[in-house]
Amino acid sequence: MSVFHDEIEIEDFEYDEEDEIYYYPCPCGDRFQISKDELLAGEEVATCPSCSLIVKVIYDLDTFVKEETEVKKAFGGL
Amino acid sequence: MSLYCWGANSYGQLGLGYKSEEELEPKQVSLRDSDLRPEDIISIAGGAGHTLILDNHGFVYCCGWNSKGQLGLSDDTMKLTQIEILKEFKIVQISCGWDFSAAVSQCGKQFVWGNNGNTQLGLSKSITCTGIPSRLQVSQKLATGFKHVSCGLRHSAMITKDGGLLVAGTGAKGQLGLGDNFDDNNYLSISKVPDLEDVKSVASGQHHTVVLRDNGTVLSWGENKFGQLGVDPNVANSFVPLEVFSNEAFQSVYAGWTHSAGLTKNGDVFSWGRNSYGQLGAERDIPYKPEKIQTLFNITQLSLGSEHNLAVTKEGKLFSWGWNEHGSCGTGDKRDVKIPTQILVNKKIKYAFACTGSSFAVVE
Repeated sequence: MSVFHDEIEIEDFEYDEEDEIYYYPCPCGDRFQISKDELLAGEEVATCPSCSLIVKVIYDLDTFVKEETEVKKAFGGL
Repeated sequence: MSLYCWGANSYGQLGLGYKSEEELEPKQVSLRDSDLRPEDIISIAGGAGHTLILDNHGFVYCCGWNSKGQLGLSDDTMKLTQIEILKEFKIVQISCGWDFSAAVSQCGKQFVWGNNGNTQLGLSKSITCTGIPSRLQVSQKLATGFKHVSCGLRHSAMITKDGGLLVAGTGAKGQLGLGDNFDDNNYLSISKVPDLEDVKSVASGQHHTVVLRDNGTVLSWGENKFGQLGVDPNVANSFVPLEVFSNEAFQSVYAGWTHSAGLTKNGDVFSWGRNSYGQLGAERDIPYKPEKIQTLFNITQLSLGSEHNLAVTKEGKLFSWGWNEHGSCGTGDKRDVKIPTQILVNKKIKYAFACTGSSFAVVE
């Protein structure tokens, strides 16, 4: 059974560049999380390590992949 | 008297001296090594993982998560510890956001600490966070003093001495009420909500704000995905204050993350917004419509966590309802509580406080 607690736009997540993980507050006090790699693979469910709630990440896969590729290119060019 | 706690404890926010996933059964907090006395406690507030306790001497104690300096101490602590720097001011009110804190002193000063990444403290954008409670200084035009502060997830709202309302933080979902042209980048870190006077009570939710005016008018703004503003959720957001309804008997308003409530002078509780985990305390055909919880009477004190609620009656009975996965409702299990249910049944309760995912009660 997967009833989403909420649907959250990717912009509302906080990105941790070191861990390459997107975080969003969960009402239990912990944080929903989903890694950049998961998003790139098309995964759209962020989970909370402390409870059963899950949220759907609203993002456009094509745009996300494109942006990530551009970031990589920019860094590669340095 | 004694202090009891229950619910989420993953950061040590219950003050028990240790971390645990949750405490299902209400437990007594040992204050043996602390100057804090349970009979002196007048208020408790909590964020994602931290807790603040205020006593009648005006002292503030804290414990739990300190990732952004939200404790106001240099170190982490899982035991209730006094915030030294606030000792010289008589604090009369406290509030916690997700990872930030605020306190108002008797003479109308406001102190803020913790995360300022969204300027939720009202401090300059250049300050990302601060572990030192800092006095919020604003121009005389905005405020000559502060009366009350309520912190949401990433924003805060404060009643000024003259009954106006200042707001700080992100307004991306309309939670600042500053108008349709609002854009976080084009606004100062703190602003006044235009044309709003005689503010009696304010509550900040996850992405919404609720206000009660002296004349009983309830206004709200911000996200309305679940009807938390008290209007039909086909209006997804409001960037301007909406007059929702009016009830002269209202004395204060409250906000969970996605639900809202009001308490009347004669002890009735009204609720509206999201009801998926029983947050509203009753089955509702139209959850966005403010309605009285018929099973509650003579409530003298009400407190809302993220998705759970606590209410104390005149006789000292404590009722809880809402989301209960971490035992936040104190029923000893994890089943959501759809109807207000009495807990700590054999005890007389003086006060109870619902923090984000945890709860406290002062027991006589």
